[in-house]
Amino acid sequence: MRWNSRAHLRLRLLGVVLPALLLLPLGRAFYLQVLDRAELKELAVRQNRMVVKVQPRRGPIVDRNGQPLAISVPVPSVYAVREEIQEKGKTALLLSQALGMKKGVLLNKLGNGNGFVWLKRRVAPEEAEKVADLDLPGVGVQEESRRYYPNLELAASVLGFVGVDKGLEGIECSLEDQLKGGSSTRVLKRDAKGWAYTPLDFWDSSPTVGATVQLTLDRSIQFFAEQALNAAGQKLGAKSGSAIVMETETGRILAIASYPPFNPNEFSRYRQENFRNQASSFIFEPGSTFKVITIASALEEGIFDEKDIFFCGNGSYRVADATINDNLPYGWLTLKGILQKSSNIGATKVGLELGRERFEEYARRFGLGEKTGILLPGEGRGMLRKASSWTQVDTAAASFGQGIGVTALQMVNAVNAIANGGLLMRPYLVEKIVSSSGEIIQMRRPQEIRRAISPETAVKITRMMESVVGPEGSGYRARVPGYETAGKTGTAQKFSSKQNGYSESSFVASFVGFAPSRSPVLTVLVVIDEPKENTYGGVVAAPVWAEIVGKTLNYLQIEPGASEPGRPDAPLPKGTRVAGRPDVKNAGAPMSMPDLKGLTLREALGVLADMECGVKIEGTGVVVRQSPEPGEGVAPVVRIGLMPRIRT
Amino acid sequence: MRRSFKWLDVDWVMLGSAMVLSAIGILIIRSAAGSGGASVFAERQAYWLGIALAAYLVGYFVDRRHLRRSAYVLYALVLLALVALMLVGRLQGGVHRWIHVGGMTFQPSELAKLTLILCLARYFHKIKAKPPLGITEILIPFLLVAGYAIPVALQPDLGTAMFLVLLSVPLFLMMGLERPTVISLTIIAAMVAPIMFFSLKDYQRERILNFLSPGRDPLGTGYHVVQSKIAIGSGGLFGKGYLQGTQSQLQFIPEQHTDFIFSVLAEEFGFAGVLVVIGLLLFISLWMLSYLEVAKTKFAVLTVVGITCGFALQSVINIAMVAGILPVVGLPLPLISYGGSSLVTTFLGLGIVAGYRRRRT
Repeated sequence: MRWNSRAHLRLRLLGVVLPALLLLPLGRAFYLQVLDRAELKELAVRQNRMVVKVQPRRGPIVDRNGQPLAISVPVPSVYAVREEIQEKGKTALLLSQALGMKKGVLLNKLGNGNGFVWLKRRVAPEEAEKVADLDLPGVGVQEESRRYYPNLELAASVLGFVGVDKGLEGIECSLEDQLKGGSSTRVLKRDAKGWAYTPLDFWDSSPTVGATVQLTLDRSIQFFAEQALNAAGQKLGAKSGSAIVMETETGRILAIASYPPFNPNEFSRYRQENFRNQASSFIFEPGSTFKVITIASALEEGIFDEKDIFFCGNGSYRVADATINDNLPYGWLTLKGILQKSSNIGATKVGLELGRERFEEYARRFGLGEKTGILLPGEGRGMLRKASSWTQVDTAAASFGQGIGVTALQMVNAVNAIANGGLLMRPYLVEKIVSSSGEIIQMRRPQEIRRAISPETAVKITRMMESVVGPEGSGYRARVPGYETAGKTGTAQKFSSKQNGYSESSFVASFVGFAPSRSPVLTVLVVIDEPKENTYGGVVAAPVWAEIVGKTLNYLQIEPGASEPGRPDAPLPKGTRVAGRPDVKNAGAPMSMPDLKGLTLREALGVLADMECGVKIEGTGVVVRQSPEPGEGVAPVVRIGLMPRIRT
Repeated sequence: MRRSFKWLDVDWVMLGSAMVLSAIGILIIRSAAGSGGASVFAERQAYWLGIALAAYLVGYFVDRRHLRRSAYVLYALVLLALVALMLVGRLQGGVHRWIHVGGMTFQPSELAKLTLILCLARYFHKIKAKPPLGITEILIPFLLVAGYAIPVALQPDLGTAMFLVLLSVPLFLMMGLERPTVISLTIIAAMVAPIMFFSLKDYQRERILNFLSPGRDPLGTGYHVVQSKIAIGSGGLFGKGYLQGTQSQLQFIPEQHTDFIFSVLAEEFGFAGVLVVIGLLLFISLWMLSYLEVAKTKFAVLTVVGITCGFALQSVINIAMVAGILPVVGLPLPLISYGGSSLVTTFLGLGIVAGYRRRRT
């Protein structure tokens, strides 16, 4: 119907107005989506992308058998997204009860700014559960990883520990980069709540898992060493102490014990001093143990031989303006006797004859005065002054180990050179580092530093050291039933700056040696700093040494009596070891040349196949020449010369 | 008087277009309020679409005289529901927009949009006075509008209340108003506006202020519009693809399956998708207007005009609000937004309009 003409007009108008109205939002959409889109797209990307620092999972530290020493376990942490919090006061109150925190602290964290904030990291599972049950808007629980040391105090001074995000001591600190894992930032999608959108398996599949560090330590040997050292340390009321077990042939550290111990799982309960690795950082005057170096040097120089005898002044001997004393008066002593009885006067006469320049040179050849390069933070260099500044008294004192400073690690390594036929090895603690994908990042092989003395000298001094442990020696308490051992006691007065001289009451007692002495497997040093009850190395340190060595030899199944004591003067051929040696498989140790003479080419190649060397062959038939000769180290390229077998 | 109905006479063009839009709607709801392709909301909307089709047929087949005669009764029934909700709201506090019927919820304020048009059309149909209307003659329709707008505003749902007032404007204009009436109404409106503004709730005032200056509080109350604009703009010409919208999938957009669904459409299907949807909305509006050619009674004309204008205006206002050119008022996008009441009411309205064609044969 048409109730009037104006209405009709309006109806027509409507047909124009309505489409026009609808074109309005279309135009707006065109503006936003076509004309303005670059800027808006950019805005979208900026707000839904988030670069986050992902806490990578720290790689484990394992012993040489793969036993875990430090692992990372997932633990919950509580966070808040602040703009999501509805009632700050109530939220803070409820959380303070659930987490055992002060409400004010929580309010502070919730109050400042927007976005994500950790409220409490690494909480107990029960606390996390309580928080989850509260179901507060804007408060959540996220899994993080926490460092855990399953063996508690064991090897703590080697492992160190991890602070909130970073290794603070020990291997955890020195191998921080490898353990932590590589790239730790990631671009994530993020939703409107500001929380990253991550795939469910994100934390598990994350490639930023740190590398696995395999140490040379053996958990069992480490345990023997710590057990013996801790017991002695407590019994004697010692200030500190250390024990090192080294694999003779390779320089591998099988155990480092440090006293007093601490539990890295609760490191905050201990004082800073406990974290020190005494073996690598405590510098002491070695005392009598150093006499082996003095005498070995003199023998090597050919100044004296074993038959020479020395008058030991019946307990008192004057050098320049100082008087050297022995504990007991001795008359004439051989070099062996000097070592066996630990005569200061005898050592002084040997040292003075050697002279200060050669003395220093040999000390350095044995690795003193330089860091061993072990991967522990804060390793000490020791103290070895230039010989040109030594007085005659200095040289005399140095002959029996006073006036020079060493770390336990340096000392054990020096004596290890004697055990190892004169070759000084580079001590090492890290066997290999394997990335989370199984790729070997670093693999350590035994490394020779230099030859300190000849094999012959090494054998001679070894014989003398055997006598120290003998019934007449100062170190008879270091006897290990069933095994022949070699060693030396040490009892050094400590220098006291208060008294401006050597103290009469504080000593460093030590015992260093190796076993079995005829084919050494282990070199072990025990140092006990300021024992209260008794002070002599032979009394205090030797029994600890014997306990560690006995248990370790037994554990490694080294057969008793395998050391052929019947051939006292036979050289110790390097590399020919008795059966039952530990860990030959991955030793990578320098091997010695077998005797190939008389073998056919096929047989010779079969023998050489295990040696990873090149072979240069001349001639045909059976082997008649070889280079290197039998018993020498394996060269990269072995030459063998063959001749036709002459049939007879 | 009995007539024979032919099913083939149903307006398939209109019904088809509406169905296409509703299907697009369900797809987008699935993207906006689901995860991994599963969405309770999309499923529910599909059920509602079934009911809406029934409502379309009811509107289509209902006898026009019955419709006209029952207009006041329908108005009163809906009014009753609105007042009841308002009272419940007063007593219990909080927002009450839905009534629960047998496990389903229904929003009477949606239905009110339709019954108001029918009621006003019914009133003007019978009015004795000759247009243009004077101020006394519009008093009763004014009261009818206020009767709905006040309880809805008190729910509180100011957006819908204002929209109800807006809905009546085309009808008044169709009838024609005297110039003094228009002038005095304008003056009254100008005086009421500031009073209204200051009697608004804080969040309502915030919305208007944010509309006037969207950057004012981008992380707070202006957040909706800023995010919505980012979503629309980042969609570009062809969109990011279905279920691929970063802003919507990461839930940057508020109310994205209801009032802000347009931004999800725009982000995932781009300007091309927007063109199709707005094109269809425009097409349906013009198609409905074409029924004026066959509308014989004043009631019929006013009903068609009212329903068509309501449909078109609500579409425009919704998109304009989502695209940041109008304040956020909380109106759904017809046929697309999630919401059974809106869908059923829209289809019922379409059915009523389409019913007029039937009369020609």
